[in-house]
Amino acid sequence: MSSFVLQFLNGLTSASTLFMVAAGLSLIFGITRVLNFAHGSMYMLGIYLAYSAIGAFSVGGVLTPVAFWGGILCAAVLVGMVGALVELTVLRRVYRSPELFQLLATFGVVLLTKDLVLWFWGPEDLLGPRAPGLGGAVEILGSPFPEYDLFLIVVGPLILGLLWLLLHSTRWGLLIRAATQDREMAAALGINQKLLFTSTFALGAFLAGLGGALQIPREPAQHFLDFTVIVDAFVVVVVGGMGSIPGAFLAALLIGEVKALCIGIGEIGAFGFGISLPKLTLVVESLVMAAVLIFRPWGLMGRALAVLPDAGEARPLLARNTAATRMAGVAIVAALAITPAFANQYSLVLLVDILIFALFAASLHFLMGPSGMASFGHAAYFGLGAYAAALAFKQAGLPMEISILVGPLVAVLAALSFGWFCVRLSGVYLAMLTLAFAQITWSVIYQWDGFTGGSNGLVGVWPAPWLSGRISYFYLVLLLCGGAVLILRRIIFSPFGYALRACRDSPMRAAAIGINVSRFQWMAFLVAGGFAGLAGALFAFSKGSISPEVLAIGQSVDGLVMVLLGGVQTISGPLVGAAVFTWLQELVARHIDYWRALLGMIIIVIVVAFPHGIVGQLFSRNRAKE
Amino acid sequence: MTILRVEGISKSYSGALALDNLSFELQAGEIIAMIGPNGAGKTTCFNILHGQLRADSGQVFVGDACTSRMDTPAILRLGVGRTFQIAATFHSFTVAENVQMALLARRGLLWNLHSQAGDLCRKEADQLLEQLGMLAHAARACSVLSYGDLKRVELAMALAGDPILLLMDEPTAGMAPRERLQLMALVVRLARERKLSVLFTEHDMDIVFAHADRILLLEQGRLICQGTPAMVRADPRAQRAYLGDNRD
Repeated sequence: MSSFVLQFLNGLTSASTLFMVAAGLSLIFGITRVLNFAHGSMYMLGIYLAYSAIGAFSVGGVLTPVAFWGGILCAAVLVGMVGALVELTVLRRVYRSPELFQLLATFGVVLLTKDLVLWFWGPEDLLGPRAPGLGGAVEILGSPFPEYDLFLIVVGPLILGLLWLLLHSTRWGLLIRAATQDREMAAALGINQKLLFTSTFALGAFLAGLGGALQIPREPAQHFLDFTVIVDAFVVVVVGGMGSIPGAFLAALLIGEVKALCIGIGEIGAFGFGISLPKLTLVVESLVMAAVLIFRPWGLMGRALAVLPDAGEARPLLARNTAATRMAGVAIVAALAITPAFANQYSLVLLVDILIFALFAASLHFLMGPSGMASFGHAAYFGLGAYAAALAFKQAGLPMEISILVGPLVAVLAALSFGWFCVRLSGVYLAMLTLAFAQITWSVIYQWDGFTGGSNGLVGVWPAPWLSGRISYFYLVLLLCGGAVLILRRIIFSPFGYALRACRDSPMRAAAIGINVSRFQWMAFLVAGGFAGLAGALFAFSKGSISPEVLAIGQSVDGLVMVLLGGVQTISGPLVGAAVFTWLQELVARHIDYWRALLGMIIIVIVVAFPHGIVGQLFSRNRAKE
Repeated sequence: MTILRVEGISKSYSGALALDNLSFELQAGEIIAMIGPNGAGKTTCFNILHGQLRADSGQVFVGDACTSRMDTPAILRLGVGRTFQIAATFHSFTVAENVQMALLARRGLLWNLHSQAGDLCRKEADQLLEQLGMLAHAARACSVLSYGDLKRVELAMALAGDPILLLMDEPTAGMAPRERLQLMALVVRLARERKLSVLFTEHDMDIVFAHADRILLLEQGRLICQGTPAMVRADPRAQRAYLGDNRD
């Protein structure tokens, strides 16, 4: 019994931290409508800065309460300033860009921050000091419980109260609430948007920084915290309802307690399987989110975002093939077909990667572009394709040629089941549900040591002898990926593809002419999932081994970056984006230690300079000339 | 022949009664205007007729078929088309492609992953556009059209479904006065040509009295009077509820 009470208290502790991060994220989203991927980085920065600030304030190595609390406050304020800086230099320039581009910009900030942290603090975990005066433990039902955790339990509701006061009894709060409800109207009333946006961003970052800094006595500063925290924070914000602070608090409590409960229950046995719940917290968390979103699509306390009948940017017409583009396509394929004659082994490997990721990006684009459904978890289908092919080959002993087909088949089945839930939602909520499903898939594969090889993955996944040469495998990939991309293109121009674009442009009108919107969108998942699975299967056999990395969040984000780099409203864009991204990554990662920072910088520059993507920009340039 | 029969439908939103035991009939080829102040329940009624909402009680018949429990696609198949208060078209399509989509959807040709959609039903789409005077705009993007032209595209899409009954929610809202008259004259001409019944809502009384065969006056979800324009004009209840304000 006492262990459950303690777990319950633990849940409250983590809920406090979750709330602080999520509240900032929710505030920022409410005002700017930007989904800030860099929010986890602000949290991480908070921990690291607190570590250094406390060290610097401890004169002669003596830790005083002033040094400790001063250090934490100083770290949070510094992070707030970083937030303001990010808003001023990057986001302010992309508010008019499509939603997903803003996301990409914040992702550039994530990469940049990650490498800055590595460069400044090094890769080791940094363990901070205990809080002076709160370093002990109190006895609760016979078990010790840290005093500092009790303090954190109080901090969460305290921050909620302060935020409530700030929003409901100050002029600034009034403006925030007004702008959250209707940004255009607030602007029309003469509210200084720039100041409002910058200050909201600073406050949000401050809260994330504070949440991080307060963790310093409890957990070491680590350079992968940004991703774990941002996923948690997204889940909390989505469950609570975008833009709702009390909702974020409620959701933080729910998620915190569910996690604690998993750890409290520990190992359970069912149907002869031992299931270790502590390892599956992420799965359980995602299931909670999926359940909430299915029954309350706008989160516990959120309201449907006002969607104007003409919402969204005007999308250009699809350019049909002209003689010139057809010639260009043939020329590119011909050039690729003769490369093995003069390319070295290394270039061939890189080209195979590029082709595979081009298909991956094209399949993601099919969902994001024509179907209008942003997927943050597209790696699930890629990874499932890779694993299914590898497992069919290794565990079931099927020949390689068949195994490559098993990949897309399994991906299609996954897309059917995930998609069924996803198409019930739209926009950011849909994107978050795709992320949740991808995280579930990742956890299952990661934990299932006996079958999938767990974190080590699978090795010895080699092509059949007749395809084992670099050149012959290159031709196989060229044939399958090239063919698949052409089929995808064909589908986009078919009645089915047109129907998907119709559903995206105006779901109301589509339904009124008799299109079953959610069924078409469901089938879009099937198509996109299947082709991503094919890319994954080809990837597994090209590398000879796979690890859970192939379906981790990083892989999904890579796909997003490729599509957005190229331009989401063009068909060739994602292919160009995939080529540029894969090539850059290879080129930069081999020669520069801090390649992520460079990549982040490049992304930011591209987003600020080409708000419609590389190819998209070329097209609009041409159109302007005409 | 009765095309539409509404029998005592009621609908409330969390306690507030939007439609209160509403009944009326619509004959083949008839053009009926449904009028009433904002909040009278007109749009709610349209949403129920087109399957976007379920009535709490009462029944709706299209021809002999009871549509109270049908969804939108099934009601469409019975020949009930609709245009919206705010024109809704597909932005990234050309004018012709919009109409082609409606034709393809009507004929169940959308589950096709192979053909080039741009080439299908093009002729029929052009014919419809010609009837609406929009053929010259066929290749233009919908995003660059004027609002009045968008309304015409929407009308063409509704007609592509070969309806026997057309529901038009404020067909002339947001248009310039001259465009309004032109559009309604067009609707009436097409309705007569195609033996089409039309039920429309409208706030512009000039249009209502000029074009409607019969008028239904709603107030707070109740039908308070109905009849020919002359009858409604003379009815004291109508004058009190609605027209009284107009005559000041």
